[in-house]
Amino acid sequence: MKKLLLFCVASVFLSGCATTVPVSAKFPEAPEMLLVECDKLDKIGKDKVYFSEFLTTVVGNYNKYHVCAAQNAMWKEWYIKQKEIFDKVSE
Amino acid sequence: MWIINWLPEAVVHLIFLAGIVGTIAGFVLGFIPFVSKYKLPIQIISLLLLSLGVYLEGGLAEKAKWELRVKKMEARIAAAEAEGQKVNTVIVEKIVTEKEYIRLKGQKVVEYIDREVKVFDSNCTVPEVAIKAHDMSAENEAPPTGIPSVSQYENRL
Repeated sequence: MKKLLLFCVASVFLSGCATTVPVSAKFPEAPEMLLVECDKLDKIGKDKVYFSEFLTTVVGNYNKYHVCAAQNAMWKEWYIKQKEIFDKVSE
Repeated sequence: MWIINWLPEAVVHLIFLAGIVGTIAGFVLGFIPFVSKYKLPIQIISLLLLSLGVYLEGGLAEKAKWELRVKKMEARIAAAEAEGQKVNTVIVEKIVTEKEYIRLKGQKVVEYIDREVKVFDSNCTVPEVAIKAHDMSAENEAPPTGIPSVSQYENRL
């Protein structure tokens, strides 16, 4: 009986120690457009080409780089802005 | 506090009320015959009930405070999610426009090559080694000689 009483009293007072975290913020998912991998660079793939053909391939590769760099810049912008918003919630 | 979640609020108020009534009865209304007969047990039980009641009432108040905080937090999270979604939309629009613009500029350069550079094709040949160098670079490959293996390279670092 004494033990039961002790258990009841202890369980009531120890219940104050129980803590729960009811709400948690989730970091947002990145847009799928940013998850796309950069294009592979083109090769000439022939032994003989005209200079203009060669240059066109080079320009195409530069273009691919610029697209990839823009995507990378967007990743940075996305992360900085989302982190700012996320941090504001937990302030 | 699990006990507060488990016990209905009315029971908590009842315990507290019973504690107050019992304490008043046990300490003040001793002149009533029934009370005077069971004075000590009434005093002990009602004091215990009062202590438990005060404790649980405190818990209830704390719970209400937490619930308010949780609601505020949920509202903030919902606002943040909406703001995050807006950022996503802006970024997607931006990247689509930028990619299109970059492609357009590249296309213009290609048109320029066709117009201005093609005329030099007949007297400007590209040596095979230059093509090889270009293709190796495009694939991030190295010439067969003169480059250490990855592990050798790491050891050097």
